Amino acid sequence: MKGKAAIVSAGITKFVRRAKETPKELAWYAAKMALDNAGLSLDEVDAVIHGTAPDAFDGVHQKAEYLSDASGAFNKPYIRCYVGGGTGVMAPIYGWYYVASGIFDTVLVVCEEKMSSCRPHPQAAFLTIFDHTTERPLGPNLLWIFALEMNRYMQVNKIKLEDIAMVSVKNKSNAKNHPSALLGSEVTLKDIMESEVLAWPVHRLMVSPISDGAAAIIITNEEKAKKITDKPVWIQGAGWCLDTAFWTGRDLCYPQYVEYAAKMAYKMAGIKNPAKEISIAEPYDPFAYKELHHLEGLQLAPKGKAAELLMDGHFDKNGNLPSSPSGGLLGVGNPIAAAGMMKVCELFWQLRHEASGRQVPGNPKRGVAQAWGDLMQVGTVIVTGVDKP
Amino acid sequence: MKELKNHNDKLTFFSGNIPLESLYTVGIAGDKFFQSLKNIGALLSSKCSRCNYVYVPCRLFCERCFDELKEYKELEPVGAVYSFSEVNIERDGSPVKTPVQAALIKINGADSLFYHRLNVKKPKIGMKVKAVLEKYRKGSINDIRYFEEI
Repeated sequence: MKGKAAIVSAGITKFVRRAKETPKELAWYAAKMALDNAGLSLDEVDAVIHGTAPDAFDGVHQKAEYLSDASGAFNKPYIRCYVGGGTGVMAPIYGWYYVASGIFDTVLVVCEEKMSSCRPHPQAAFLTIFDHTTERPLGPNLLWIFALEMNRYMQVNKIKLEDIAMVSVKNKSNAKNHPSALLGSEVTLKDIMESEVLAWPVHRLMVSPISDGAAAIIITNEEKAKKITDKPVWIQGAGWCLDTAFWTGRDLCYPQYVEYAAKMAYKMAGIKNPAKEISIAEPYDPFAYKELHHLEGLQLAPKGKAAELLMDGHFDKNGNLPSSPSGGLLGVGNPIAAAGMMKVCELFWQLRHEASGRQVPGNPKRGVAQAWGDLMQVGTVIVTGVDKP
Repeated sequence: MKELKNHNDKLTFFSGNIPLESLYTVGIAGDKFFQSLKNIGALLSSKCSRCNYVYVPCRLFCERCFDELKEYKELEPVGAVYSFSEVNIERDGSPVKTPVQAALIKINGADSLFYHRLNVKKPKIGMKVKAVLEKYRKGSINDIRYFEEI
């Protein structure tokens, strides 16, 4: 697209186990913070996008409508974005094409999730996303099928469980410096390996926690961006792709759909060698193995080799390609749509040198954020950078 | 922002639900699959005549080519473990009484994977397995009790 779109502001709540705030109140906190940080009033917003995952989490049917006022949508064009866990990166992509197409000058993108409302546990809601005839009677949930994926990924690529556990060690440590973090802490490999086995090979400390929270950004065109900030973060590329919704038709070892989504975004951004041209990665890490799986799909590690690079320190905060410097979902928390948006916010702060204790060294020019979801088949990718595309 | 820590504070939270109930149909291909499972204990597959991909359970259409699938074939419920997990927690987060062995099985003659349970001593990827069927079958995926090692 000819039009340029930049992120000019971001806002985020704390991610917590059970917030006292209602879903509306969470969304409002994040949206208001993004507006205040940009020095904008609601009148200056032309359209609103709300990203939020299953209605079952907040326990409100058609929850985008319920969340609309809290997202600043009163008397404005408003749309919900919902592709499961992929929502948090897809919602900013909606915002990008709203602005880059020239339809709107300024849009507010808000993502919210309040998973604690869902009883007895949000995983129980996931049973009902499976085929009602051939799978649901067997009682699977996402934890079960990701365990199957992880086991296959480890077996085919001969990856040690201890190496995967190091993703948790890295991310939870990075999250110590994130003011929104639910689980930032120094944990050891021993802690991870000795945590409860939920579904082999998934241990408790290899899974992100259920959380409540919200995050928001403001995207504007070039003209407006110049007036708001001298440090706009440009959206250089966007990509999205689906694998089959028939999940038993996949090889599970490699996220081909993430590769397709990434290649779409890289082509738009003019990136030929992503491993060299990307300074920071924020891959989706609801499970420890997924960060590695996704880094491979994002072409930031050769197939099956992300664990080796991790063990060499390549993805550390001070490594060649810092991955999840935010602390990721494993450290900051996983209020689904808000968690993906948190990754987009992290690139915004990192690229503006505003990430305080999490700031990666040097002069990062460009980052990639990615989310993943639905019945593990959605890949959404966004490339942002300090240079105007 | 406030984190709710005192769960006994009746003023700050309360229980509620969204009452929903559904009546599902098994579908065109599903009807054939479950008739086959119930009556002869076979897994009915369907094959795409354009890309030759074999789906089990059988499906009405090929998602790759978008053609209707017309080549149905009964497969023996026999195959190899593609991946597995031993699940120790219930969906509500509480511990299970007996761990569930969830598995993806590559049924001989099929391209897609088949999701079900195992009942083996020590599951392993590549292990050859066969389905153990209920004696009185009613046309449900649970007509297969589990897969056991051959």
